[in-house]
Amino acid sequence: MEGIYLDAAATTPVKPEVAEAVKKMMTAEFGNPSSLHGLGVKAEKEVKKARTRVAKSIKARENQIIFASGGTEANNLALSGLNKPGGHSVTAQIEHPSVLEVFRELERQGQEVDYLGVDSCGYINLTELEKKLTLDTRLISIAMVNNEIGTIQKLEEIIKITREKAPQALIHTDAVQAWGRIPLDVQKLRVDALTLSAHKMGGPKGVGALFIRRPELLKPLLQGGGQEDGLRSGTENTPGIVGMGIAVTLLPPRGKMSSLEKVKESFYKELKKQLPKLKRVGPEEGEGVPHILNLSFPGFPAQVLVQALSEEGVFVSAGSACSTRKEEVSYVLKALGLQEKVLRGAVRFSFPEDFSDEGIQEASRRVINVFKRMEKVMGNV
Amino acid sequence: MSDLILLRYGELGLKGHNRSFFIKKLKENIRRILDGKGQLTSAHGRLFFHPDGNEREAVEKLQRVFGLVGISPAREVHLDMEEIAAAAENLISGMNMGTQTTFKVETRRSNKSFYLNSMEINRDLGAKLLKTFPHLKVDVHKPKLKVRVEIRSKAFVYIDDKPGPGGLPVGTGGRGILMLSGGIDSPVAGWMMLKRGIDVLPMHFSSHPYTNERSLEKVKELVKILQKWGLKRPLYNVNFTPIQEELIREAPGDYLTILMRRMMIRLANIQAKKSGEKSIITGESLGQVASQTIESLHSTGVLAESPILRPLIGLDKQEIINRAQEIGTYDISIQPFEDCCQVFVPTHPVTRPELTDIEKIEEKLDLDQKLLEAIENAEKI
Repeated sequence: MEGIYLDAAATTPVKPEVAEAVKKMMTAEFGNPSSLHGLGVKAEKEVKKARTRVAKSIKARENQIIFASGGTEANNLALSGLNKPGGHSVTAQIEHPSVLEVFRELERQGQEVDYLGVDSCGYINLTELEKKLTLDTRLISIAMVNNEIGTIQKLEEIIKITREKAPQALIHTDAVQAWGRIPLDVQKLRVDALTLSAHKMGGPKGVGALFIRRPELLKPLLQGGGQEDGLRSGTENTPGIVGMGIAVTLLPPRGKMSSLEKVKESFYKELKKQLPKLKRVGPEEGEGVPHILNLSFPGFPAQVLVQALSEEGVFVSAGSACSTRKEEVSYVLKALGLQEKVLRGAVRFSFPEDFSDEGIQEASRRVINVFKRMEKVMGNV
Repeated sequence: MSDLILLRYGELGLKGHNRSFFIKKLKENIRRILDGKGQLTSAHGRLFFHPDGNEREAVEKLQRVFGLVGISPAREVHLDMEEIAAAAENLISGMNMGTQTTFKVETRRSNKSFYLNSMEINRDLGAKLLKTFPHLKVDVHKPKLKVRVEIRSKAFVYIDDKPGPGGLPVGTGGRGILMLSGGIDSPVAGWMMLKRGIDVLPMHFSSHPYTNERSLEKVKELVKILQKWGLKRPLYNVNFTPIQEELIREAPGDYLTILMRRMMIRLANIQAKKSGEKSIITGESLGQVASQTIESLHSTGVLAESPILRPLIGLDKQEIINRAQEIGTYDISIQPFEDCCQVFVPTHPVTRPELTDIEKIEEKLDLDQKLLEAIENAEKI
């Protein structure tokens, strides 16, 4: 039985062209970009090319891109590196742990942090934001797209409100789930820092980038040889960086994403027809990011559903992939304020960019089978 | 480096006619645990192991062979006081000792034809060592160092005397089924019965998708540890899913745990008949959880067609944890993947089940065929 991978928000397969480029940088062009000789110069050139590509993909300048080991490091670098002692910060309850944990650490160091709540669709409350912002607010971080439910925050409004109420504040956004899925343009979107990760869009794991509008404001996390303009010391991960650069050139065109949106909706309709109890979790139809669909089968433990689907060769997530090892309801879902029953049954389907109509038929057939079987077994649970 | 390792066995020396059977099993187990490496010989209540290669590794493995009480890397020399002294000097020089060390010589002379008796050997060797090592001092009551000499057809000299694990050789205590979950208790129970000589058949009940695939991996790891302690037989992985589904469907939730346990005993009975097992081993400890009250133990106990051995019955959780840490199973057991029955643990399970109530529920079930099939199709790993 062929597997159907519906966990693209967790990670995606590396595209063949990317793999090839990575291999080349590991073998033939293995030089250290800091070396003076020819191999070093070659490697440096390749890294520069990748930087240009990544910068272009979000309309940034090259010197505004810092390569790091992935989304987690880029988030840490942005928040720790832009933070100043004292003052006040704002973030949301549904942020990724690599954002939330940095703020919790800042709190332990005596900083004041507000964690904004969200409505049942996952949108932060703009009135609440407005109330929390002060002239003392130094840093705000709100992800562009939530990884569990796919809500796209109204970032332009958030920026507008922030600039008015807290002119001192620097704004960071984690765009890991947005990159390649919705348009990203830092000339229009006036954030101060933005996080990208390669492996969510056909690139290798272990590499990501931080866009930083004014690099002079950033303090590095790592001390060392001064690579990346002194902002990220450590020999450049040339295979990863070059791989990310190639992945950028292969980002799906805009049209592909809107057809993915259609594919997602027809998948949902197909399931809903057969399983009327099904509940959509997160944003309404047409509002969320094209690749994420969170569905709940109230009363059925999501973990069992994920495992049963895995037996049928359908690979999905319960909550976010990072929190399944803890036996608790994901804090993101909890923040939505839905019924416990609904939360515990929430399963995330996230679609690879090339997921097609034929894929839907087979996937929905298998999903329906599994749920019907579970319904029979657990009807009285 | 020593020439050989002297092995002493305890209890089994006392077992009269069975002695040769016990020693045969002990030798088999040593060969298995040492992967057939090295040579094993025996004489007069002693076994001699000649390691080929890594002596330290051999000693470490021998310390997990049940039935052994002492393990001593020794020098083998001719029956000659000069050679004996040279061997002792060599062993002492190889040790890392403080400036002042007290010692005594202890001799066992089973070869009475040697020209000195034990006392004379002690005195003679003691005097020689005092001369060679000026920092040594004799203390016959509480010496830091014991130089031991055994006079047989050859002389054996050793200083290092490592304790063995004690117990009886695996395979001298009949056969038994160990109900092995991924938790902390059951591997310890299995270890304790291996120690008393039972040839254990580890049986695990899988109920994917109600449990995680990783929980079986965990059980496989636990089996590997038990194999280091002499477990001979492979893991029997029984697919419990069809039985569990019927129970979830048909039985009241608060009885689920107790009914599952009764089904597992029935499965063990079937396997016992099939392969001649004489006991069922469980990790139950009185009162630890709802299914381990006297009433619950009774409700499973009445079904068993062979004695249920519960070596942990009187131990506290902490005592079990300490033992699990010593054995090396603890770190595996605490990995957070549920073993059988965690997902569906009812909020208020019955703690004092009435047998008549249970039997009434079971009358409605028709599981005989499924039980037989589960054992028939058990996977041996």
